[in-house]
Amino acid sequence: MIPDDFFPYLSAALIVASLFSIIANRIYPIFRWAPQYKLLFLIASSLLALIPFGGISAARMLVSFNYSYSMGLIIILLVTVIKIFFNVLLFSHQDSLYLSIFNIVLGIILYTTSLGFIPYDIYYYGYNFWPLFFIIFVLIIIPVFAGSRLQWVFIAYILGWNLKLIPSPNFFDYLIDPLLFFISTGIVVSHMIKSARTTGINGGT
Amino acid sequence: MRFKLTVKIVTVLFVSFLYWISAYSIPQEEGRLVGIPSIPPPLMGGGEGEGQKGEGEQKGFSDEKARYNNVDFYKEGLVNPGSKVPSSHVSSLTWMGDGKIACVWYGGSREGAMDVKIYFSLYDENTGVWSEGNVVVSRESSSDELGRYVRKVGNPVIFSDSSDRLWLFYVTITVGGWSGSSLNYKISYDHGKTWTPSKKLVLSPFFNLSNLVKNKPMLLDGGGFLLPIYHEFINKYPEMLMVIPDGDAVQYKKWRIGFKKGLLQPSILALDEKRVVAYFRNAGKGNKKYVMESISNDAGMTWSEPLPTTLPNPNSGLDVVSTPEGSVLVVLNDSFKDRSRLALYLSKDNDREWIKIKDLEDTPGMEFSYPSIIRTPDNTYHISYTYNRSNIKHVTFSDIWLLEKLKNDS
Repeated sequence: MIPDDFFPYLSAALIVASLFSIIANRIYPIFRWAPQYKLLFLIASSLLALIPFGGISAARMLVSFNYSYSMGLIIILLVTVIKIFFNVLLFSHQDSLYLSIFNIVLGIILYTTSLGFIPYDIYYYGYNFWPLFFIIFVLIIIPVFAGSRLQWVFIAYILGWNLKLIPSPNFFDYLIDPLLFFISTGIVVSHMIKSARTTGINGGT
Repeated sequence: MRFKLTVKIVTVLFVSFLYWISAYSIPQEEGRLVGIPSIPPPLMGGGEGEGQKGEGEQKGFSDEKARYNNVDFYKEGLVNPGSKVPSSHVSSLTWMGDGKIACVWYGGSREGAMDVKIYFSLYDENTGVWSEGNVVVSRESSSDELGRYVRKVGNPVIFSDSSDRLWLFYVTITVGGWSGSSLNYKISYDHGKTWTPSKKLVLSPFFNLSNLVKNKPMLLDGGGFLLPIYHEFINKYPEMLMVIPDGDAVQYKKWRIGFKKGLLQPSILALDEKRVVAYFRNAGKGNKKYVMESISNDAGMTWSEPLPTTLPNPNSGLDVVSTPEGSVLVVLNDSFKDRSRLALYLSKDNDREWIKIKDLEDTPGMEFSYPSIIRTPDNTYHISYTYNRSNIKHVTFSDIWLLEKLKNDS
């Protein structure tokens, strides 16, 4: 039996570790470090999330603002950390982009309805099996035959929900949270800017 | 090529297996989350003393007490007369059996202050005295139990379920005002002497924001209950939370009561096995606002379009309870402008015609608000409400008093 707070605190520690890793990676690429330094850095940055500063730790503050983070966020953070530490790309750039677009569309629909902008209670369907799971099933089958690794993300969602890894009975909370929504928006916006620049450069030559 | 195809087939088989597991587990949970309202005693055709509590508990009433309850009486007093804090607000009452009533409220230097705590007090019907209020939740205790930073606590609701467990729901805020609230609960198995650690409910996908509670739930036959809650971040709307106890944990799901905005703090009442009525605080636009009403014909799952009653509402909370004759009693601020008057109204047969029974309070410049009303199995009504923000007032009267009042008025 996994304690209710295990996953929220794991995700909070991962958020802090990812932030430190991104900063450190900019100074000197981490994948070139010796394995023992990598391990030490990862443990130290995760512990920093749990040590209280001014009476409250960064992890506790993060889980205070959002009670539980989604599995989608945990996957994105793990992919980022693995890329930084081992220079191994688990998802192609295209996969990350598709997943981010899925997150943005889902987030917009979910948040606009749950905040009352649209008179429809879509969050309620997260308590029931069939309507939402059917969509996820399709989202798994398409990547399987398209040769994409995104299928594993959606499989992880279903697995996590069956194992009740997150302290929420609603399947939507496994798919998305506001932080993941903002990160996904950042990924898509940065892709659009890069694409625009590339088009501009190509157009100029 | 053959290897890749094998991987794809294995993946599809694995996904199908996962779906089979999920599909197998869900309907069982769904089955547990179905229930019908516990019918109030008079509607079940029960006699005097038959109610939500078991027969054994009814035998606890002495003959002297039974006589006491058959007399015409109306009493009032303060729940916390010697309150050590300047501000008290949002009280909630519940019957605990053996002539005991529990009351919870929050108090501190002012509403929303960081020193606000949730207090618990017991009333003994035999002595007519409230015990001194004990702190059951502070922001520090809540923060420790939840493993989260808690900036302030508020809005407690207490009730006793069919298994004699005492439930305390309350809200916590990490950042911002009341619209940033999230919902937590504690359980007591010994009539409020000790409580389980607080647990938080995840009820909203957006930072778990804006889930508040004000009124008592409606019990379900399977041991669960329907708790009326509401959302007030950006838009205001009422919601229904179904809770099925599972040891110290709970299974739960929530849904919206219609899509009309500007309605808050629903108070619900079972009219029969399937029909439920909800009354709402009106936080909509306009100067002349009325209490809104909605009906459910499937035990609270779906609701009719909310319609205005003839009861005025100055954007303030109210509470309802049923009488043995099946009438609806409501306590509310019957004013369009402020909370300086608090009154008791009755509607026979839920026909939307309301008779004023009594002005409980009427002093311009003062505030009387957030009422909570219950009817106990010994034929007594108890009302608690905020008395000018400084104390919690308690009013109690008998069935006979109510009948006499109605007789005299007619």
